Amino acid sequence: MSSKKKKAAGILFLVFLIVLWQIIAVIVGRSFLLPGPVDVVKNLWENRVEIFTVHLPATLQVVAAGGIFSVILGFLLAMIMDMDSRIEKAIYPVLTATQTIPVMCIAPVFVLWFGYTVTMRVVVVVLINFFSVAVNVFDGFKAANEGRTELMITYGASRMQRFFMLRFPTALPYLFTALKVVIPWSFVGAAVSEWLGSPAGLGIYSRNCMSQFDAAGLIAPLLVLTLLALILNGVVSVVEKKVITWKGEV
Amino acid sequence: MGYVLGDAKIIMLRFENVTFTYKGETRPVIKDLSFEVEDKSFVSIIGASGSGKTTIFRLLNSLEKPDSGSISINGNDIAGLKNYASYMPQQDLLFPWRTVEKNVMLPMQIQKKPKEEQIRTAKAMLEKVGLYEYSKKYPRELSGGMRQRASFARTLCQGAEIMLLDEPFSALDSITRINLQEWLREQWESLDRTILFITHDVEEAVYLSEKILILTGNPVDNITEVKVPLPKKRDRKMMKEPEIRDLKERLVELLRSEARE
Repeated sequence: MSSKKKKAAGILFLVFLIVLWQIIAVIVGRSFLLPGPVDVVKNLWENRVEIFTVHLPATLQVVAAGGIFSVILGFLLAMIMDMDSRIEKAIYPVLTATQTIPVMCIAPVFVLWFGYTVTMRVVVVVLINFFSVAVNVFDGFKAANEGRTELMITYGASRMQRFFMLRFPTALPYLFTALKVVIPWSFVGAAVSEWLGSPAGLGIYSRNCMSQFDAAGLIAPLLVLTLLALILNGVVSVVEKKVITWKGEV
Repeated sequence: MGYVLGDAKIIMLRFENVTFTYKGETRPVIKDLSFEVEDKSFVSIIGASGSGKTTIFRLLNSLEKPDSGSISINGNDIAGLKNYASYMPQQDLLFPWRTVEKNVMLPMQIQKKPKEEQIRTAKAMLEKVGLYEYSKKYPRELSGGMRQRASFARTLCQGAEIMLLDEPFSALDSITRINLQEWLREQWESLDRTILFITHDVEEAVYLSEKILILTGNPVDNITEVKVPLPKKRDRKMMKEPEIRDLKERLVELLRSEARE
């Protein structure tokens, strides 16, 4: 199958699912229990001003700050672990431990520390994300070809030169993989942290709708988040294709 | 420039009573080994697989340190030297994210040569290996033979007087290989550099070099030297001369008896 046909098949399947959803919703007939796609879009349109001018910017702020800090922290940790295997042995288990704690359980602690602030929400996003960046990028550094490393040594390359000319470019595809995980999870993290309490944001908007048995209102903002995450991931994929022209050749 | 011995030959490289054991091993790979390579000569090292050929290059590149003995270039111990040898590995090891030109510039970038000099030298070397019009291409756009030529240009850009070529043609198809052998001879004639060439292919060693060093013993403790009775200007037809055929047979026999041991 050509890639165009594959794409068309994918879109067709999506349309089929949406239609199926609408049919089931009509059969169930109670929109407060199962709103159909039409109800959700209608709700989104009715509340468009509030959703897009108040809540969406608040959430995007957390997604952006959290995402960027996750990448920076994860990258730095990967670099530090790459410097010395003793550091790696010391840090890696601690990092793994931070991932075994369910974020929903630890997040209230951040509320105690930071209050219902942007900082609290950003910290939640970072906690969810930094690990996948650190692990992916660290694997990327380690994937640097031994032969190329030795060749650079014979050229008299310093550690720094080996890092910037070999290890970093080798790790770039891994960084893109990490980014594609970080983007959706930043949205998830932002929404989760807003559920705990927040003056604005799509997560808290969705929660408020729930308390009013407004199921369509609950789903509408989540739909916006999902679409945005998909679009951003698409953008990253395009950039990746432009930058990583050598994928699979290392 | 080196030091002159009694018979007035200039020694570029000297291995003196070198013994080497890999970390964690008890048996040395090389034991009390000595040999010399003359300045501006083309010398091949042959030996069966696992005979220590690559180890000799690793020692020469300072990727390993000898347990005892010394290795010197132009009379200076390599322990205190930098950029004294240009190494060309078995695989081209070009960096896929760099263009051919940028790949060739790599050793000069590492040595922090001025930018203009890097560009000028890279251009000259790419012209020399016939890849100038491919300067802006990426390695994946080149054939196997072209990649090896690019790798050779990069080796030249390192600028050392002795070049260490580690089975550079072993992964190529036979036609490309024969073409590159002839090409390498021409390059060497015009280069004014010493080439030390590792191979396990007797035919290749005879065609390319003036002198062949055969590694013997396990661990390697002896090198048999054979002079190749071919003129500087040579062609494939000469390889069929009885004297050369005998030499090849002798070498093959020697390698086979080594491999059996």
